[in-house]
Amino acid sequence: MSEGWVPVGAEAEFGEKIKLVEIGKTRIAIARLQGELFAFDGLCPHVAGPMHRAEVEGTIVTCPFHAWRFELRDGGREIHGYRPLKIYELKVEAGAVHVRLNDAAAAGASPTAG
Amino acid sequence: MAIPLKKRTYTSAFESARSLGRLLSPDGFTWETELPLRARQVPLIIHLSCNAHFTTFIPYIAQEVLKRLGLEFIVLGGPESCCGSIHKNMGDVDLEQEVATKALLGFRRANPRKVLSICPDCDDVFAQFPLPGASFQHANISDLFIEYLDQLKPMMRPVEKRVVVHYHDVSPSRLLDAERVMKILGAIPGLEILPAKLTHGPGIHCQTVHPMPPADQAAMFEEARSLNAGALVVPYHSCYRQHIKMQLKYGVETQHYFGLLAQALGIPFEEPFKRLRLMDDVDAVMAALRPKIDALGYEEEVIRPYVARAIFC
Repeated sequence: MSEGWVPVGAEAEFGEKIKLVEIGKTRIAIARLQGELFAFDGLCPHVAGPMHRAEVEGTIVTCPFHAWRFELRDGGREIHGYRPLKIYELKVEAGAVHVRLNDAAAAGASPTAG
Repeated sequence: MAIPLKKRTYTSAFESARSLGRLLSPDGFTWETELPLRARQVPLIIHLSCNAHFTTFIPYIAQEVLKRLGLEFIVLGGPESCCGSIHKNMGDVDLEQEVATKALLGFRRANPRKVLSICPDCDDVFAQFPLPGASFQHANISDLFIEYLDQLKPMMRPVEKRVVVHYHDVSPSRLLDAERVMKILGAIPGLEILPAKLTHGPGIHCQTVHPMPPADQAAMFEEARSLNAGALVVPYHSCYRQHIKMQLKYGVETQHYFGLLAQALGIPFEEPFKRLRLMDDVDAVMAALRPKIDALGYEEEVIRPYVARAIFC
């Protein structure tokens, strides 16, 4: 782990179905949408709805609580103009997916998949 | 004209409410979707439920009545404070409670005296998941009109109309609503309530979960016509949505009881949902809505299924 990068699993584990990974107290949703891997906040910025249960249309993910809709390819922009969804930097190295957290969240974290 | 509908999703349920709410809302009617800081200590919240967005003239009238009474209030709602009944109806009962609780926690931030629902689903879901220590009372908005009925009566002018009154009585809360509606209508001078026997509706309201069976609906309007009623008065927006179309066959108008209250109080209002439904043609409705669809930047192909599902129900 360096500069906040945390391994979260093998690339093959992440498909079109959104997978929830917990790193310490941080919940991160990861999915491959339209061929691209995305890592985003597991909790909706509105009232913490479960983003791993989001409905997916292309690269737009919709929170099931109140249908706030986020365009992952546009930095997590909420399409009605509400608050954006946090997007995490993500990289694949040697077949493993790494997500970049801030140092505090990354320190000592060991991911668990949900 | 049959319109192919996509599978019902949270996206379609909430987006249809959001977009039709904006398309069909009267001028001068706005609502908060999240409580701003200034909302603290607001004594009354009119809660605008999701499906009430299709008939926003109803909460608009409520707003105007509260203004006439000089009461301090906000209108709060939209999918952002959904009661959870949509989740219940989609089979996600675990989400239902979470969503209901989020809405109640939001209300509590304003420290209101009462939260007033338009919708019976909201009444029932919020009652099912009470917030421990909540300082506010949650009630159907008819509760407030009864509370202030003596102040409203001197403001009323005659409404010369013969009506039959539709009702639901599946639970004590629905029965209470029915009694309150009768009391409010009974206070309107000139209004003649006719002794109908076939106006009983199924479930907690018509249209969505428990639509009134077509044969019962036809019998209700046959009776209304035979009594020479000018209108069938309904207690809920969902009943309004199901029964409006019957005017085309029976010549009996469907009216929400707020509409009669507004007439009595001299509150002008329009009913775009009714006007559009009585066109009886999705293409004609889309043509009528086109200028506003364009002005709001919506895509017609997105809106059309919402119109087909919500208005032509």
